Amino acid sequence: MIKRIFDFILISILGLMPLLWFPGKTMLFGHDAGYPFDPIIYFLDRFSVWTQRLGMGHDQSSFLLGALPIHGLQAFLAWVGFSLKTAQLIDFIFWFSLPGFSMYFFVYKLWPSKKYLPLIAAVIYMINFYLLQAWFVAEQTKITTYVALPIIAYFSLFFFLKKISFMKSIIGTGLTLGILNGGGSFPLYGGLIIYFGMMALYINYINPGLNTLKRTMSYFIGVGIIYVLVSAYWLFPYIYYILGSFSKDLAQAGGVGGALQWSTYLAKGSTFINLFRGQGIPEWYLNPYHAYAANYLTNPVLIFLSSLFPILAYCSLFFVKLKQEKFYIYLFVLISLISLIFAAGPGSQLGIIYEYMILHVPGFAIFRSNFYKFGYLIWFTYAILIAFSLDAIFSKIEDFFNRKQIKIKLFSFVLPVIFIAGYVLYHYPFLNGSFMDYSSEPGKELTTRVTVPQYVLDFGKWSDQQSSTKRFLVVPEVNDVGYVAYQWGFWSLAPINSLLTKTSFIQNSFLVSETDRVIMKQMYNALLSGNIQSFIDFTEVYAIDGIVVHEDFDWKNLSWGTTDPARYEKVLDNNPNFKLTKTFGKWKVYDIVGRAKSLRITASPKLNFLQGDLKNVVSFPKFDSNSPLFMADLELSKSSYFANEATDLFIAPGCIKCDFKKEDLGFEYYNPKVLPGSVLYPLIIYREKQIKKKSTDFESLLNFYMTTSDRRLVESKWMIDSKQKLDFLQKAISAHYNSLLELKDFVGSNWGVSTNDENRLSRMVNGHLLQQVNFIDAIFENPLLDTVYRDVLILSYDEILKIREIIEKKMWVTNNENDIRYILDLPKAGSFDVYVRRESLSQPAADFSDSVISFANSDQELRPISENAGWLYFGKLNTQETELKLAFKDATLKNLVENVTPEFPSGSQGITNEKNVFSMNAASINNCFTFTIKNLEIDTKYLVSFGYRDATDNRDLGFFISGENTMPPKLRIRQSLLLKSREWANYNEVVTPLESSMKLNFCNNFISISQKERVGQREDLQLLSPGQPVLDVQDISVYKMSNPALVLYQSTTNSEKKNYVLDFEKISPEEYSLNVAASNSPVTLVMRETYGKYWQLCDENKKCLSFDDKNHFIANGFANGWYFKKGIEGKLTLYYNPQKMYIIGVYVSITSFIFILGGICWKKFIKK
Amino acid sequence: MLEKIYKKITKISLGFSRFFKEHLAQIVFLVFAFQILSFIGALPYFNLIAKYQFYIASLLWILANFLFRQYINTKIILKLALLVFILDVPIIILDFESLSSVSGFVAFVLLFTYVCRKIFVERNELKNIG
Repeated sequence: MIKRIFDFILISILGLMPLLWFPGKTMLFGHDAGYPFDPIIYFLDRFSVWTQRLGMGHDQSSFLLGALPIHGLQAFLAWVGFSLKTAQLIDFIFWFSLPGFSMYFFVYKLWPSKKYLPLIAAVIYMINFYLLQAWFVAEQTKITTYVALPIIAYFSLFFFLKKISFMKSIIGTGLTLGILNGGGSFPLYGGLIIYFGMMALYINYINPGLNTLKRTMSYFIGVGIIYVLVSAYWLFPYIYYILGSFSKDLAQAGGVGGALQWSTYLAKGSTFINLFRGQGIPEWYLNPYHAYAANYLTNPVLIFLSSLFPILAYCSLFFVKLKQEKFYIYLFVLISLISLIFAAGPGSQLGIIYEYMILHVPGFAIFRSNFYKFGYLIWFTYAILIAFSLDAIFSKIEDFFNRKQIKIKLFSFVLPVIFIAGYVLYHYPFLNGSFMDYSSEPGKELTTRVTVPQYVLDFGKWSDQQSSTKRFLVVPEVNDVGYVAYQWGFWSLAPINSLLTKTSFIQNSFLVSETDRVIMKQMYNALLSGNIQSFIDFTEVYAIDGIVVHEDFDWKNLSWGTTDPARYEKVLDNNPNFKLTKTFGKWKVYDIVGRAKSLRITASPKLNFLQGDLKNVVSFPKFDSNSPLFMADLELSKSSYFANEATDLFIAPGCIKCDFKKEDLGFEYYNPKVLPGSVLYPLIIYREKQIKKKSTDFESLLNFYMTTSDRRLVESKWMIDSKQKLDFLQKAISAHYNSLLELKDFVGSNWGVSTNDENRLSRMVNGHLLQQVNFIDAIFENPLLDTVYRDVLILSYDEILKIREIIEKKMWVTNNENDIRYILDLPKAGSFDVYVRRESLSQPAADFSDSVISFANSDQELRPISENAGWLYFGKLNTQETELKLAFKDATLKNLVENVTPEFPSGSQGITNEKNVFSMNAASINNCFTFTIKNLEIDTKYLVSFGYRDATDNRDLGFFISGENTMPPKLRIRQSLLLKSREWANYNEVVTPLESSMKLNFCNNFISISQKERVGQREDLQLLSPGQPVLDVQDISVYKMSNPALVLYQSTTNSEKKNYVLDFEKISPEEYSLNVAASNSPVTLVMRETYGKYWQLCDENKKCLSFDDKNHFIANGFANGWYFKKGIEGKLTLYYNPQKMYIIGVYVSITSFIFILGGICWKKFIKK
Repeated sequence: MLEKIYKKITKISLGFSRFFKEHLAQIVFLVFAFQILSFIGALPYFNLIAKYQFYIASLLWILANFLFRQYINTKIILKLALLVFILDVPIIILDFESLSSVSGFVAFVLLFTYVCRKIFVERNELKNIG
């Protein structure tokens, strides 16, 4: 008994370790830490499925809605009156000790007579690198599952060993899982699932029979029922989420392929040997500035000590003697090995198992962070196995001393203390909390130990007292890397407000969609540039009522730095539209003057329809950003319906390939493995036939013909390169020719796809054909080919040319700045006004009058007629066709090389210029001529292009860009040699200058001093007549790149700007009631909360629209919109329906708890 | 001295030849299995399996366990596995990453074999614990 008390005291003392972690006033915040600044508000917010904490509102059924027990404890400590820091420390001590106690309980139940085992197992389970990684962000959800595992192991194992009753085991397991539920995060159950599966298999293997199988089934069914009943409060809305959004979220994360990619990335260090040694934590290998990893990875002593983990763990197999012990030890060894496969993920030698499950087992993709989701099972088994071995060793030592009659007082206390002291020292980061300083990269020093300024907490309290419909914009904006960082050390991807207050804050963080981030960036720009009207318009779109300036934002940082908050303050202070209302230290709150009423819910007779990029139309004079907007690209299926109902149509096509990036649409050379002539080759042909049978639409058939043709050529090339199956080469080359004939017939038929698809597919075919030509070039001269083979290749080449001829007519791609191309896929035919934004032209200030819009297959041309608020009007386009190809010629384009005199830094010998064709002969080898372009706009893209040809078989022309005053190193020329081309070839390069000038360098090859003498021996040069050019360069041009914003506008109804919503009340985060003025004409109601399919609109008679009603759409790219063709009136209610499921779930959970606890009490006390 | 060496060599070679004579069928079976598995690795779909050679090695090891049970003693397997962990220390210190990765896999296979064989052999003994 004294030993047990001693163990208990020791575990409790170790549990106080968090007291060592936070010096001064520091607390744990930032990164992924979910500890709230105001635990009570945060806890209460968890009773709603819809929350305002995350920007414009969010469904949190997938965001740890089940974490009520965790946040309940935090809130309780705050409610009792502890300061934030004290509450955090008590909370951490509780969760730090709990794994130790749960493990102690389990192993004590297994081996009550073992003297050392329970304490050692408890300590190992409390202190290890897996848990340390969780503690750097106090990942309490993970810790709950970790605590639950030994308790669940007890209830399950003891039931199967018939030591406890069925009811006790299922209630025990169900309640443990229900309370220590991992915050309702299913991925954390990965380790538990493996445990359950292995245990059931093991038990059924050892004791086969129907009876064991029945017990297994009944146990899992029983546990499942209790778990569902107890967890109903979060499980019911979660099911709603799974049914409604899981697949969408998975797709956004890149689908199962993305999940696998992520696993592969994480598994970098999770090899078997590292996991065996208690390491393999992804951060150790991915973060070169990790706080302590380098020591453990390089220090020989620490490496040696780490190898003791597997030795001690599996030595238990030597020490185990008794039947019962063997039963447990074999099970735990087996579990440890199986969990290793899953924790190692796709990178290990058995990674295919994990990979297969990710790709083929539905839902398994949620376990994509393999180490974190399965790793705790390794430590569960290790704690037991190592403790078992040490117990045996310590007992032997004790026996030895007893036999020698050497009496050491308190012997049984000394040994474990020595072990624990050594063990804790090995895990030294636990002793000082240094593991929270997770990056020491210069300029990016990061820690989760921060001192929170009092004004931040004061602001949180103040904002919670504001009207629940108030919404604030946070400035400065977050930069493109998305990190939210403050000068006092807070750093995270999530905005600070999400843990601070329940009020809605808008910030362009990664919690909002990419589209929204783009629009928000424009809103920030509008405010910064003093374009207040535009900014006010944006605030109306997002229903923003005020602005909060965070002066303490870490805006100067090189990595996540952003705009100086003082610049925003200057604009806000000097504009009558804003009024400073409150100051909290370095946080200032401004109100938008005149915004008496929240614009969160509005109803308007207008309905805009947009096809294309929103950023291209926001400044369009006829585009009212406050009006409801349907964006066709977000909901393609509803596009034609809303195009017919909209009052204003905006078509903003994006120009095609205006970035001039080289398209990589071809394919890579690969090993086809099975070649013609192989006995297995018929299988390949059979498989291809099957694929063709399954390809029913044009695109898949085209893909089939294209890839089959590619394969035939790859087979031929592979046969030649590897000199395999050459007897069948003729057959292979002929098969390729035949495949081209089939492809030609197919592309010559009616495609029956949209113009956009036609363009995309023909570009794909073009890329593949160019690659095929590359391969034909590569093999044509090969001596293995005789004339017959070459004849077939010649025919194939001709077929390729014929196919290209067909597809070139279908391709519509921007090839040069003078001919920018667009494809219009209009939602309906009719008359459209055509506009181009002047600011988007290459030189906005230049004369634009010669700009022209022309159409393919038509002589019609549109020229600028007038200008309205920065938009050039090109007249009307009347069209009966919905698909059009058009080209735009920007008259403001100016070649910046014009009027620039070339310079010859090493003299002009051997360089001639005739009608802008520069020729360089052998006398100018190693020399360059340059053009200096001045007055460039910084951070603006320029297109540099020219034509060139070589007269030798060498790569002769070197081209590079340097600073105006920098002398480029000579060897740079060698690096810059362009591809050899005997014919005139075009070269394009997009440049974003960092200075206002740049120098274009054209050089005639590079010969090093050691090669100089050998130049004269070059045969290719000797063939040239004296003075004959080695290379020519022509048409050198530099254009400021433009991406002209083209908008086609059609107004169908002249509707006034009016708000039909008389007033509204926010009853709760998930319910609004509103009064709407009567209207008989079409009205669109917009609620500016993030779009959710399950937001339901009901009238006074509780008659509601269905979830799939086509009139419910994504308004303005993020909000909820409802279109009423026949108008609306009276009282309406908006309700987020999953809340109903939540309430039902809460009733079920509470009733179940009462029943279970009542039943236990009845059995324990009354029945006796 | 020379005679001693000669005798030793003869003994070893005789031992080898006896072993081969007695287990020729098993050895041929293993070699054949190796050939087949290597060939399968070149077939479509199988050629997509990453680190295929480890699967061949594992399968051959499983087969060898069945065929040479009397030689592959479980205790030796366990000792070998633990030895691998000790040998790994210098390998890890010298940062031979790929070698340590393979040795980890070897240790895994050995331990897995040991525990599976033990459970298989002692199954009856382990029944009705509780």
